[in-house]
Amino acid sequence: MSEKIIARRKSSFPNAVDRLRRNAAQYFLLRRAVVLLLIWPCLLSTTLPARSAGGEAGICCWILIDIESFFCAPCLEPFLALCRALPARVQEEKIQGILVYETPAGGDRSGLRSGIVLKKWRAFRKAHGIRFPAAADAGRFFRGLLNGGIVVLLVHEERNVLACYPLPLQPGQLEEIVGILTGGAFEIAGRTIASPRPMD
Amino acid sequence: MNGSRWTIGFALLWAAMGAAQPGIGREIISKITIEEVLSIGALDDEALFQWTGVAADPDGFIYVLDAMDYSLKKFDLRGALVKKTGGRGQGPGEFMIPRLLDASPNFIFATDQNVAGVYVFDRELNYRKKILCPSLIAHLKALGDDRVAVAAMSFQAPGKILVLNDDGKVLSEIAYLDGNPGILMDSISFIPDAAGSFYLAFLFQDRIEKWSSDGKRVWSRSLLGGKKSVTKKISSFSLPGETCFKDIALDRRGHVLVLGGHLSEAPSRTVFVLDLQGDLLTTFVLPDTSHCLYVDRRNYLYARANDGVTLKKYRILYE
Repeated sequence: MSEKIIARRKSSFPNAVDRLRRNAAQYFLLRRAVVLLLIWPCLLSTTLPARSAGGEAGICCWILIDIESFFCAPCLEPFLALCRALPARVQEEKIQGILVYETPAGGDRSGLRSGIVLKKWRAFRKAHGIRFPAAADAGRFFRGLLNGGIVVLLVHEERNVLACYPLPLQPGQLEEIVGILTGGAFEIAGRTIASPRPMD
Repeated sequence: MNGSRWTIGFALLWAAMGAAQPGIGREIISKITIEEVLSIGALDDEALFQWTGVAADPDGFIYVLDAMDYSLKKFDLRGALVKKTGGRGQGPGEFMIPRLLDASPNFIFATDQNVAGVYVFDRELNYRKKILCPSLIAHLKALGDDRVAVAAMSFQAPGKILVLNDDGKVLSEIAYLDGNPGILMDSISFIPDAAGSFYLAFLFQDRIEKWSSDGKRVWSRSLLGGKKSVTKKISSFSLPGETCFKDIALDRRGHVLVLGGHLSEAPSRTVFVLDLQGDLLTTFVLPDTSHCLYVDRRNYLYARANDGVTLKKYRILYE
């Protein structure tokens, strides 16, 4: 995270207890990011298409969605708010959803579970006017990474995970994500990154 | 001597009537099997996405609430979609989290999880009115065109079944809890019978009970050997994490059908069959897990399959 972003987040944790909580949260986020980086080559080579907006500083977004979140209003509302804030073109070109779900003990060889999950996504996407596509996590790559809920990952085309935002977002994060995906310069991981062109 | 003859004669007559009459719970059965007669919803169609509630009208039309596209749907006897209404929203006839459903001869009653009321539709799915309820609703059954029974969801006064008229006036209530056993421990599914009694399945307690219409417990049974739901600590609350039972229904031949939850032998698939006195007669197992058990006026059983993408209708076969 950039100095600016960290400084801004520090101001929202005024006391020591909150600081401890923040450190713990950062630890878990870091751990998740490390796991993701470890399995990254596997993901790229098997299940998921690499999506990029193109250009040198292309950034895309992966949204990991535990399918159970559809039935949890406190989980769902922040996600819908995020979707409403992202322009249709950004959703179509820069976002890939990944649907995480429980599979039977013997696996999902028949593809029945992934078929069910994708059917539900189809209805959910239509009901909420969501434009980005999603893939079912049939290989269970993300099961251990996502302990329920929804997580937004910003990914640079150089194959670095730039930022990880569990929902509900903290103050300022929604604007941060939307800003990064729609264009303009942002500092992440100590680098100034500019999207190649603003997107409407 | 004369008196004992009369007593024996009366007892024989009563037993014979009981055995012959359907619906009073004296039929001796050793086994129940189910045979699929209809399946609605497949992976590649648009019929159902995540159905939550089901009901059937006297003509056999099937009504289903779907939580994924926020709709109420009507299917004909062959499973073809006849009509669809609803949509996401908080306006009349719209849903945010569609949940419970039941049907009277002329109306369809539906609930939205966070709405303290019951939506009333006619059989053509035209929205008619909302019956106001004093609290959120955990379970719903229609008692007729102008009355519903609801399990009230209340922290202040937990453990009550309220009978409401179509203006929302509380006509009667049954207080079924002894004390306050904790958060969610009052959660029930219930089914009324024609005499006005209620059969209750506790979702997080190993208890099946019958209550009379005047609010007295008639019997109480345990079917899981007293198993207890393991509690989970969420924030500062201890909440039950496993269900004992999921739903309860009455068939047309006088049996209580109870769908077991996580703690039953086949989780969310075992169905316990009791007579009206609460004695366990037999069990059978659904082919797939379900959250719901519904028996229509023609004695067909409805349950979930494919995690809510499919609704199955079964014929019940008795041996």
